[in-house]
Amino acid sequence: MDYENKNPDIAEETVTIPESPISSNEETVSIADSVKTLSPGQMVMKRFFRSKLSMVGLVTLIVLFIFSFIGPELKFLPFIWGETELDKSPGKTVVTEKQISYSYTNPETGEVENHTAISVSVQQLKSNIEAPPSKEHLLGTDAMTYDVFSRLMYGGRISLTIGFVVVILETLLGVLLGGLAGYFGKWVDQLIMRIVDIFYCIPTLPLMLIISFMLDSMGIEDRAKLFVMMALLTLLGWAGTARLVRGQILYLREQEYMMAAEATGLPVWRKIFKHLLPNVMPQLIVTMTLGLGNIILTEATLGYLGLGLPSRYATWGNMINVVSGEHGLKYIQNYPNMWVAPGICIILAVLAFNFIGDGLRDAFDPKSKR
Amino acid sequence: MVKYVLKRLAIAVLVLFGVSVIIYTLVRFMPADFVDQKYQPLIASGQMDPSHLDDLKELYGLSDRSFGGLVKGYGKWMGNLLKGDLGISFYYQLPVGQVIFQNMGISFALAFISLILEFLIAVPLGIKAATHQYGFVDYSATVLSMIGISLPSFFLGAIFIRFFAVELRWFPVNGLSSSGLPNDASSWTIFWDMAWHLVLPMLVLVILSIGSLMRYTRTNTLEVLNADYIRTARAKGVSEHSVIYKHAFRNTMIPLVTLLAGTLPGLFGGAMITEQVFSIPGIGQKAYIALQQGDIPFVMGYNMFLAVLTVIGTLLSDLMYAVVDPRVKLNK
Repeated sequence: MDYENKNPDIAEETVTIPESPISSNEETVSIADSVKTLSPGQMVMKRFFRSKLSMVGLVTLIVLFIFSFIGPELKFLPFIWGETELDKSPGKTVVTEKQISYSYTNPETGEVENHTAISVSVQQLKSNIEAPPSKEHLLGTDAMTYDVFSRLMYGGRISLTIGFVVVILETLLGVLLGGLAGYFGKWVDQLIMRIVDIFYCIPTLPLMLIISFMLDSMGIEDRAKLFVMMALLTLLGWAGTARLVRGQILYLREQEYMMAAEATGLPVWRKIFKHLLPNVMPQLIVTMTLGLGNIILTEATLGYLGLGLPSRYATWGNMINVVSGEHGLKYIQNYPNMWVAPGICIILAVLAFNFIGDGLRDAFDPKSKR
Repeated sequence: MVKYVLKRLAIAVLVLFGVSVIIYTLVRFMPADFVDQKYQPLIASGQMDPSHLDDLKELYGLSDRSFGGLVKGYGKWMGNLLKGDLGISFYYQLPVGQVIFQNMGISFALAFISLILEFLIAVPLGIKAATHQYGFVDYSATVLSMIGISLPSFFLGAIFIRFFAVELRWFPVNGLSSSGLPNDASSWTIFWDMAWHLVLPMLVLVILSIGSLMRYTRTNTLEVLNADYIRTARAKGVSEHSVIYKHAFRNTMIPLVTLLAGTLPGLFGGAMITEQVFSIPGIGQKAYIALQQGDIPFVMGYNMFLAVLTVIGTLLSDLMYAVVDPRVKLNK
């Protein structure tokens, strides 16, 4: 069930929207002056910052961002290498044993005997491949002599930011189409929701794989591949947002305050942007935060399968890629320094986004007692 | 009810049609197609004349890349499908339906047992977390389930292999049967050997999905516990145990039952990554290989199989809602 790794929480737990603020009555001004009142926004912030888990998430994220964006700039430190900087210094000594079988005719008996000899060659590698952790390479080097620790930092740059672009794009698309469907109803709704159904039924992982194979053989590489991947993730992800927005707008449309808006004769765009969308925002923000974690996981999965960015680009998924494939077991067994750290980074980042999303959900919930 | 189901089925056919068009178009645009890949070595070594390549492509129905050719190819695929024929897999050289059903068993067993374990662990834990809200159990269960949600399956798999298989040697590294098994091993031995191989993948699947199920149970239980009838029951002096396990529990189960129907695609479709990590020859791994090879009939068949399962799953979960919850009425 790996590729249904979508967080079921997103769709199922609902956040109740805070009621629009009640404007303070003029007669109570004197009391209002003496009592400190909080706006709904302030209350959400207060609840959010009071929750321990969301603070843990926030701090983790800040640390990860500093690690990946400021870390590689500290070039004066001996253990900071470039993203694709090779270590040409002589590497470890490799001892290879080779069995050579030969036959030998025994002069005394005249019989042919089969023997095996072992030839041992000792050789120092010309470049520092798969070095163990040391002072120069905090986490050793990989098969290309790239420094694992430094690539961990560079990897964060792509892995952490790709999610933001995708989530913002898919939210825009989802809000637009879901909003249209919910507000106008009838055939517009039917048409858009059927399209949503279609996208919902397309298995995400197989489709991503197909496109990745396609891009690889079309020679679309590097940054271009990154953009196509982001576009694709957006295209596959908007359906969920659209469903959420539509459902919410269908519900809000029937509320009394919307009837009042109707009666005052407000233009359509004002009703949508001023009165409907702000009320969908809490859910959207929560879904977006949780979505960020999911995108990181998807990118990592593609990287693991070797279908993400080309391998010379450092992403956390690409770095775990060593454990897949023919020699996977060799790396799992002997070089945990190469793949455990990126895995932990992925978990930390996804976990941080999930903690924050969860904290936001509780903070936005007006029923919350804390 | 019947009208509702019929309407939903009609929409489902429409949706599946859309899905098949999108997937077919994409698959046909995969430039490295099966014929090219398969015969490239032969041509490179001079054993085959490149001109035969076009004949072969014609034979496989891959020669015409234009829009007309695409439509024709799709029409042919659709025509065969209506006759109940999914075509013959290029790579496996067998009818697609047969390949799917032959390899489904092991994936299904893996997913099914994991699902049962998930429910057995997650539901009681979720209820416990809800009844002790903001307590120790609640906090630790929340954090653990969050970690479960955030774990990438391949990483967890690699860690397990490193630790339980390589380091401790408790379980085999991968595959489905030990190489040291005697030829005349009884079916029981083979069965236990297989079960032994499936422990780690199963553990991965359970850990990955237990979190969301637990949190779902927790939210639902919290909602139910706030209901008026629970207050009434407590006011009447019903013991706390029977309030929770008799009155609340049944209502907590309503959303869970519908959730069960939604697991259909995961149950039969195989876990592509987990099967990949542990080299389990299930449907997911077969599909991954087929994707790599550009095996159009199989990729089409597999994706449509998943799409059909998703559609049925959604429909079933909506119907289940009406069955288990008398307050829900199906109309539209």
